[in-house]
Amino acid sequence: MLAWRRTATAFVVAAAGVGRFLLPHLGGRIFLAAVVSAAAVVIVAAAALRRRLPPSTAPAVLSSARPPGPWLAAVALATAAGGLSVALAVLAGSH
Amino acid sequence: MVKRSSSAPRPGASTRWPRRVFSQGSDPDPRFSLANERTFLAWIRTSLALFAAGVALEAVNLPIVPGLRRASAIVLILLGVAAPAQAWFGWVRTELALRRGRGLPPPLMAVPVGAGLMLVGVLVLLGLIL
Repeated sequence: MLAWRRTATAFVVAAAGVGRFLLPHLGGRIFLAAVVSAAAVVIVAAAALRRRLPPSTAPAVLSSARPPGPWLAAVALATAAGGLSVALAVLAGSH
Repeated sequence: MVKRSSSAPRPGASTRWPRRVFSQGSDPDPRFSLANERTFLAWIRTSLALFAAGVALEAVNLPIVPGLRRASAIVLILLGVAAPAQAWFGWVRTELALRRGRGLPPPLMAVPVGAGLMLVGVLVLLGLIL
């Protein structure tokens, strides 16, 4: 689905921003946060790959649109954990 | 060709997680479930944006009074934490309503996010002026 692809791209851009701009400034303090945010990217990308679009020539089977409950919970948790870890590292680093 | 799922509950529906959602009612029109999933993802992206704004306020040197800047960053980060909770619980509540054929619940976080962003705007404005 396009929305999954869009979300995964946003996560990749955010993690790249953390790695590029925050890692050099905060060093070891933010390393754990960078690892957690990278793990969040992996989780979202895995969830997005499970929901990828079928080939346009294939017949659309609407009954296959089963909501991936565990993946949604994992993505929500990973977002909160990744964002909070980076935010806390930055708040502690700029103190 | 588009195949439609039947509205009758599936035999294996109760094995799907979360069970408290899928054990009730019957499968709704898949388009509604997909729209619910897109709303979930929109809240996740909102959370990402709120975290990014909070981190940027702290990380970038802006001519804002430090106390007000930190307060704005903390409000943004707290909203960023609350948004994934809204994403998950909103998805569960909406899926339940769809399965039971009831009216859709309102988003619980819409007003707090709006009020929080307004507060952040006021704090940043004050920080720039003072």
